[in-house]
Amino acid sequence: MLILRPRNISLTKKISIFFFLVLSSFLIFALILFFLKKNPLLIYKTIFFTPFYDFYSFSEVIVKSTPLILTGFSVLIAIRIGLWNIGVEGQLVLGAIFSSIFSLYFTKYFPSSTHLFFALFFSLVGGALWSFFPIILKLKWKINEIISSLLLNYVAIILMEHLYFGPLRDPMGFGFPGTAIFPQSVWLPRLWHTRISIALFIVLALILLFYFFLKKTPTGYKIKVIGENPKAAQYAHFKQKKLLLAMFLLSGAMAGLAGGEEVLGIHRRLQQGLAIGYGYDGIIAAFLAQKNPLLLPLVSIFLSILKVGAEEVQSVFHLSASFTQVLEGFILLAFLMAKTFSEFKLTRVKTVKN
Amino acid sequence: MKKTSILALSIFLLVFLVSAPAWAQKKKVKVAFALLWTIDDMGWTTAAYNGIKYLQEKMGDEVEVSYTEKVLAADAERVFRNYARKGYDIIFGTTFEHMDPMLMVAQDFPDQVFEHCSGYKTAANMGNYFARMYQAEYLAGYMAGLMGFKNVGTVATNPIPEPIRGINAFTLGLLKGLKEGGHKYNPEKVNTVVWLKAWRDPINETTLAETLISRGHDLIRQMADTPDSSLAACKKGVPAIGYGTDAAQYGAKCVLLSTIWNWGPYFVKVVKEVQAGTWKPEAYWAGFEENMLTLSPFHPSVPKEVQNKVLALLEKFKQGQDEVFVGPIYDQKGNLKVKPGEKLTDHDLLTMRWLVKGVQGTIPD
Repeated sequence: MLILRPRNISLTKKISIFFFLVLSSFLIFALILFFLKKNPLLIYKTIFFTPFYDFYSFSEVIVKSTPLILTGFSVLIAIRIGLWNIGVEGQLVLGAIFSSIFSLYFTKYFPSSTHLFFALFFSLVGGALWSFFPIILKLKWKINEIISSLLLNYVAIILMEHLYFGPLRDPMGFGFPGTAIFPQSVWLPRLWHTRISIALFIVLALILLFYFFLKKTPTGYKIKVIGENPKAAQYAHFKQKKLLLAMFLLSGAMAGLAGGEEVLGIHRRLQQGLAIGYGYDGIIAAFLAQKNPLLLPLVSIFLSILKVGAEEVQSVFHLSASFTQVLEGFILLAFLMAKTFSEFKLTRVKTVKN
Repeated sequence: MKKTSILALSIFLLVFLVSAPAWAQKKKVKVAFALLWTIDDMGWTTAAYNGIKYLQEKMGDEVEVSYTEKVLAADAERVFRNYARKGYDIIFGTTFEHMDPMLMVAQDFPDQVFEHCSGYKTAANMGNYFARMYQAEYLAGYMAGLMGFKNVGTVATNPIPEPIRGINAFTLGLLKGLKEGGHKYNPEKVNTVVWLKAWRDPINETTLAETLISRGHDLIRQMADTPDSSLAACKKGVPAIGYGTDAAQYGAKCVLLSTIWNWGPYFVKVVKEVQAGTWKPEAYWAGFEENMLTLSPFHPSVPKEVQNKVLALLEKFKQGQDEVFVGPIYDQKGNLKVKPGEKLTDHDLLTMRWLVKGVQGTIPD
């Protein structure tokens, strides 16, 4: 039979395994395309070159990747301390709801130069609030945070639908679901005639801060210890609960910020089509980035190239929209395999029959 | 002097020769569509795609058509901007959430034409269009009434004016049919409504249809994009009425009739107007009179005389006689909402948030 044995190999070997497997996933997919009577080379070229056609095209990739970086960041923060936040989608929704309520009803009480700041601030609060429940359940009664945070996603989405179908519905909107458009003072400013908003730079700054926080501060060190070896942390008498709580709330706040960024930067209102799975994509992004916050933007941009490029492929080659998801699945599988094979070796063992 | 004039002449000739074939041919119109879901979704997007195919058939080489599937609100602006930058002459947004992103892009590309389905905003280069589905609902209800169905169960979608209007029209048609057919019925309760709170939700469509059937309803009115509530009805041996596309084509063989979106003729109309330079933005809301809707073939079990009566009424709609919402019409509480002989205005219809007498169920908030 076949078993996996741990092994140590050089970095170059690891990288070559990785490239070999990812390349093979593209080859398998090319075979599928070939049977569909499409030219795989042309399709790959379209996916990977259109985003670099000009600055505007690339800016759209950046725009698509911004919420993904944030949700990935959210998942990653929790992972670093050994927690799984599967509730990113729900926290994103709550962040968007908080931002929307502020933008629609409370801007009049504040000077207009502070509107955007508060709108973003409340998205952080909303996200953190929604992550508070699973973590408090975990710390008080040891209820698994994976399950509770996941289930809260559905609650959040139903709450949001209730709001834009009911109390928050645009009174001038002919009864269509969705709030009114927010006042311009809360719109995220766009840069260089593209849709890139300042949110991107806020996100990148936060990621850098987090990286140095983990690397340079004693608290950051404690977090790493708790995440990688909880028993050692216990032995060292770290105040685990406080840190677990703080990190999970921070994780929720980042998810909330993703929601705020989406409603203030893209939709400019709360309506159908907000919760489209950025929270779940964030898990993939965090995993592909291998818990490294600095890799996160690169991974997110790669995933966004696939998504944006696929749109182009659709409209040029009339391939079904689902095909990117298939390609994404292939790449993820290849990555998983590469990770396994760079740490383990597949060996054949003879089974002895009695 | 001579040299320059020869040069000028030859340049002129060259330009003329190169561009002459372009004059002889009509300019090819580039048309793009942003679609809500996949073209084989058996509902809303399939109906839009059927329209696209119709456009390609009718216009042939005069159009170059492109489309993108699964354009949700978060991606809509990018898709529109992309098509606009590529120089598409007409860009269609086929679902409500496309409205605001389209408006933003339309303002940046004033020379291109934008058309949005089912919304209410327009701009100098952006029009909107929709079909008066309530006319078809009225006919379907009329048919059901003539056949004596007096306890219909409706699996409704979102509690907003468009489906509400449809439910009301269906119920009014049903009451008319029951009266003409001489059937006995309870005027308070001929049509029971339950809500999906979604445009499509195959699992809940099935569950709600099954619940209605187990409560003894004799006909299932599908209102979702997907045919699942009709399919569930067929499985339990109860007839159904399809919506949006022909549900019978997707396996719901018990469907007596389907009401169908027919976008093709409108797409052709817009392209021809843009070609001729006569296109103007408008809020276009039309029904059978402009061929924006069709009915599927009747199920063989629908009696010939019922078919003829429905077709006679259809003919009236085609001639522009739309008397669906002519009073007297009462609401569920028995208040007179439309006085005898009066007719609801389009604004009343577009903002309708009350149910007519005969409907069982409420509008959830």
